[in-house]
Amino acid sequence: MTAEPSSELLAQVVGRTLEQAAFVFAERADEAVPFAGTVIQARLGYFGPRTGEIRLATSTAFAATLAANLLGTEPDDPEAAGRDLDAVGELLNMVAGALLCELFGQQTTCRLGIPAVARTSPTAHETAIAGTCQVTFVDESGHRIDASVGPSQAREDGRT
Amino acid sequence: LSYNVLIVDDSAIVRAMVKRSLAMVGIEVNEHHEASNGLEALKVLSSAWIDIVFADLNMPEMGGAELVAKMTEDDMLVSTPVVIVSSEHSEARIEELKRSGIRAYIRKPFRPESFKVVVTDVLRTAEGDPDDR
Repeated sequence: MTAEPSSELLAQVVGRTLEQAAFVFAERADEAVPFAGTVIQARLGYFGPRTGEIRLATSTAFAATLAANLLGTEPDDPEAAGRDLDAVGELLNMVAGALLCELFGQQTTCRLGIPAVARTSPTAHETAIAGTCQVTFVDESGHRIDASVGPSQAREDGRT
Repeated sequence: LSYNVLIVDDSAIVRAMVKRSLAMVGIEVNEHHEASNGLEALKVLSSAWIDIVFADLNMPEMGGAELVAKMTEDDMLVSTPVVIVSSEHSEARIEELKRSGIRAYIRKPFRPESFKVVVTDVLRTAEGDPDDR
């Protein structure tokens, strides 16, 4: 079983993962408000019958909420503080695992790389995902989350 | 009973999630150790008694599968149970890992209750439950 990544499949997996892991209920948006400030963007290579790269991005403010939600705590909890990068990377890891299962089936051995997470500008983020299969989600408070699948630029150790 | 646990993951937030999950489901932890890759885990294992290891698969320096392989080669560590906590969903991969010596596999995203079930099962087996004899 090998399927091509599609925006529908990506949306299904990202939506489910955000709900299950981070208690975020977000709707797919065809047109979203552009990111206003710094974007946290995580990328992760996958290696199986085909190789590719998955990206997940959101604002720094919402990444802090994601960190708190992953831990089941409040954003001002000291344990959640400073874990915004880590939270986006880990959510991407979960999205990637579920997506590979949908793409290649449970009987195929695939490997995930190590997430590489960085702060970037909205313009650099848009440039990085241009031409990829992508979806945008907006949660009930208007926070934007982008996910995309494209050609591989990463090695298994996360380096480019 | 309380246990000495080692949580191995390159993501600090995952280590915190596992730690919180253990507390939430009432698993008493005596000593709690952390490592961010397999190499660091081996150092901890050489200096502290650990009842159970929770390890990710994909980590820099040394991943979970290699950690299990190293532990299997070591007479002192071969019986220490390792539970893999990973985002990889492939049944083929999980079966391969079970053949290599892992005791259980928890898929991310996980619910805290998963830890209760797995820890109870793994440690009961490790301690030799009279019901299993």
